[in-house]
Amino acid sequence: MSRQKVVVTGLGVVVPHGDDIDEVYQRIIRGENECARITKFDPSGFLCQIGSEVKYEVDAPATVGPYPIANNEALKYVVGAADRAIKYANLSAAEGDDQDRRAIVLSTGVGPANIDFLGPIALRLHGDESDPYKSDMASFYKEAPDEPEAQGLDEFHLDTAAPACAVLLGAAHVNNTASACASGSHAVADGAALIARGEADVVLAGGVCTPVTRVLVPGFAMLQALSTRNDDPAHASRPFDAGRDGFVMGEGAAVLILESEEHAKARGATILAELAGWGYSCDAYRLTDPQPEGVGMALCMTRALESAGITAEDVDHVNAHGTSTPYNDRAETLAIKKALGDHAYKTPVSSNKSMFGHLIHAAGALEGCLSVKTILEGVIPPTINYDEADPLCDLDYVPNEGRPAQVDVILKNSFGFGGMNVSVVYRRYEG
Amino acid sequence: MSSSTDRVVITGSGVISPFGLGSKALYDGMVAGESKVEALPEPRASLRPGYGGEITERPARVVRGLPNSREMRPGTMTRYTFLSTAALGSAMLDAKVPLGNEEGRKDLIPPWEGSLRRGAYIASYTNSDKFDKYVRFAHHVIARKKGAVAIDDSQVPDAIKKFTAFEFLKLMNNMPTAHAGIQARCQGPVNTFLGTPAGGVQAIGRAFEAIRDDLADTMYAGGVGSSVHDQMMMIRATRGMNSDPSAEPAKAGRPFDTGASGIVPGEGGGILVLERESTARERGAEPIAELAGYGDWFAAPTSDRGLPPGPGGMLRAARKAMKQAGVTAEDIDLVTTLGESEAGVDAIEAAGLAELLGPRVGDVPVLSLTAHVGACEAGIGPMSAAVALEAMKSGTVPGALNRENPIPEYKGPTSAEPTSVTVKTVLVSVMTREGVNAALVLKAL
Repeated sequence: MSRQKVVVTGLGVVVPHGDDIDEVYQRIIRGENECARITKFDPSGFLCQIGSEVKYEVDAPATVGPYPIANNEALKYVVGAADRAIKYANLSAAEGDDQDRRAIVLSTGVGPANIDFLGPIALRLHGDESDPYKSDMASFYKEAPDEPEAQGLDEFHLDTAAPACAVLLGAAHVNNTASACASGSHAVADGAALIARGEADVVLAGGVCTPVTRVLVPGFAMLQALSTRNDDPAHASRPFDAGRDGFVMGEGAAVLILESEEHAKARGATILAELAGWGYSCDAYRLTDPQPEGVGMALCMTRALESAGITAEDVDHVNAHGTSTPYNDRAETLAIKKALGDHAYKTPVSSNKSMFGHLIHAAGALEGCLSVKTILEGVIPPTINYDEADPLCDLDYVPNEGRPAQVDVILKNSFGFGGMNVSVVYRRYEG
Repeated sequence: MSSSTDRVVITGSGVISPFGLGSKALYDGMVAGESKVEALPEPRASLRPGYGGEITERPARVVRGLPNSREMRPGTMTRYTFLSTAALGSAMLDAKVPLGNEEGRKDLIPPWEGSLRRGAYIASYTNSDKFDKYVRFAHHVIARKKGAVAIDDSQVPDAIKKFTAFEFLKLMNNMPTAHAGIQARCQGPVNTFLGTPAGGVQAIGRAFEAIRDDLADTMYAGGVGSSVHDQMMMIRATRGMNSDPSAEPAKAGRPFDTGASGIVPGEGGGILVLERESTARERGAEPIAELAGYGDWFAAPTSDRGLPPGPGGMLRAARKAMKQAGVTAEDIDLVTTLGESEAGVDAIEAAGLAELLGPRVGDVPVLSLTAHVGACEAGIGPMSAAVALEAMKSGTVPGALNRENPIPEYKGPTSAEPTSVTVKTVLVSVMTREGVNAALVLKAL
């Protein structure tokens, strides 16, 4: 079976820098930062007080098919991003048998986040009891299901996000996946695979995440994953810099419309780029730390190059995972050198996360959108806040200023907690 | 040497269920007509419906006997991750896939034997399982302000200290497969499938395609689920979806029966070991069946009923799988189903079965686990597949427990007695109220 060529025809984002991908890219290449003191709750006294938030009113439909959207922040983000991507690609919802050729691959969530609704429940349950572990859960359980506050539990899960996107696109195939920080690229790669093997003509792929909450920010700070540069949030996300101390939690949604070249050409679509290859690997090492030699990371990069049918020398730019954690950036640097050999030293490597932090499940898709724009616009986004070189991170990280360049091939890395790794190759579309 | 034209075969299966560890334990319990749906201990006894199919053995004890158990830490697992670890370990024991360095991983630099071409796709609705934990957290941070209750953020820094850092990590919804990657030493594709009870079948279908795409030679694939912990029971209770608290627990799960009163909480997990046939033969494995077809189809629920508009999506998923496998309804010897035990969902699924099987609908056994173990979410499809493989091996299919008074739409067998059937072709179908449908076709070798 011959492999179908996969192209990108649409981009959609709702992210801290805005909801128009063209404007977002312009802000990114200017090195504009969106990491700041958290505003959605009062983080005073928190170990980490920094986040990258969506601070504008998101324009998204109130309902999509049977799904209410308006009251759920994450659903608004992802439906807003999907709606923009579908319009960007000049598509409309398919109907009937045509839906068989369309699919959703969406990555969602990072576990329970919003606990506001639990306040009244906790008060009712525990009253003035100082030790909640002495509370009478049995009597609470008898009555709680009838209390309206308990309905808030529905917000713990985002199981209608992918189906809502399917209604928007008119897709008969819904895949909801998660590989932590690798998720966004994982969804893109899985979506591309569906098209490559001839199973779909159009795939909406991406992710959504809303982790800037009063539960997850302190929780991940306890894991020592987050920057605690609270007195200087604008400089907290500093991938590959010697002073990096963790990532900044970010929120938003990003999706790409992938199509078979044949389908895109037949309908006269504007082809933005080719999605030329993808590779997966697993570290099989530890839940929190990357394999220190970057074995798994290098493996997925090598597999992505093989999948694209290119060599290391063909890579013009690496859009790094670049989280700004000490371990990741060191291991990723090692892995890039393993995968690209000497060419690694000639290849600009930049981390977009320096400007918007880590959007976890949406990160790979947002950075994929920016990779497509980089090919089209010819300016490599900078790694901002790069002030002091780390001897263990010795590549060209495009420090602090965007760099005009002819970029035909980008290797996009995404690596997740639990050792799940994905690399995607975006290539200039040559027709 | 792998070949992308190879068939994908199943060389083993693993299950964790209220009947214990292993596919055979679940199968034997079902053949015996037993139900493990029992009264739950307090405080969950007070949470509707107060009963469910629960695995009562301590996780540490279960994990201790599994391959690579020294690398697994039950204390870092949610219920979902435990179920995944147990089902995967059971599958690893059954299929005997060599791991390399059996004595424990002293050398931290991979690869190990076969690891570069091995992956895992596991489905889990969520990875969040402790409602009371969040309530207790909230208790620490609430404050009355002007008569209303609100979260007092100034209390959070102290409250958070009452939890360990791992409490947050282990809630990430990719943790079941993150553990699996380590447990089974997988350096190939590893991913988690979320969402509906169809997720387990979707994970198997995508793993099937990963082998056909030459991304791997061996894939552990399946799903896990638990609706018997307090968080899921609470969610279902708030929606009025749980079964009648006054029902006798062992008779509460009644798929396709007029007496069905709602979802019966349960839990379990199932993993199939999929291999490229040449890989399996080279290592001397004896394949049980071919995974011959996969299909899925999403049909959005209607706004008024919150259920799919009809069995169309289920039929499309099943027919895609059957077409890929090159079989027709005439060839199907056994169908496994969701059998939710809720009237609206059961009616749609039963109507789909009748249309799919046509005149054979009265003869083809219809397997449903829910009467025996309750609703196992994304575990239901893979666990059903594992039971079907046991039936394929033995020639005996479990009976239809608690199906004495079938709903009008249901035209299949109703006898609770096991039947002798030569099972050559199995349709594993999961139709869900969320509208996601997925199906597999297994062919005996």
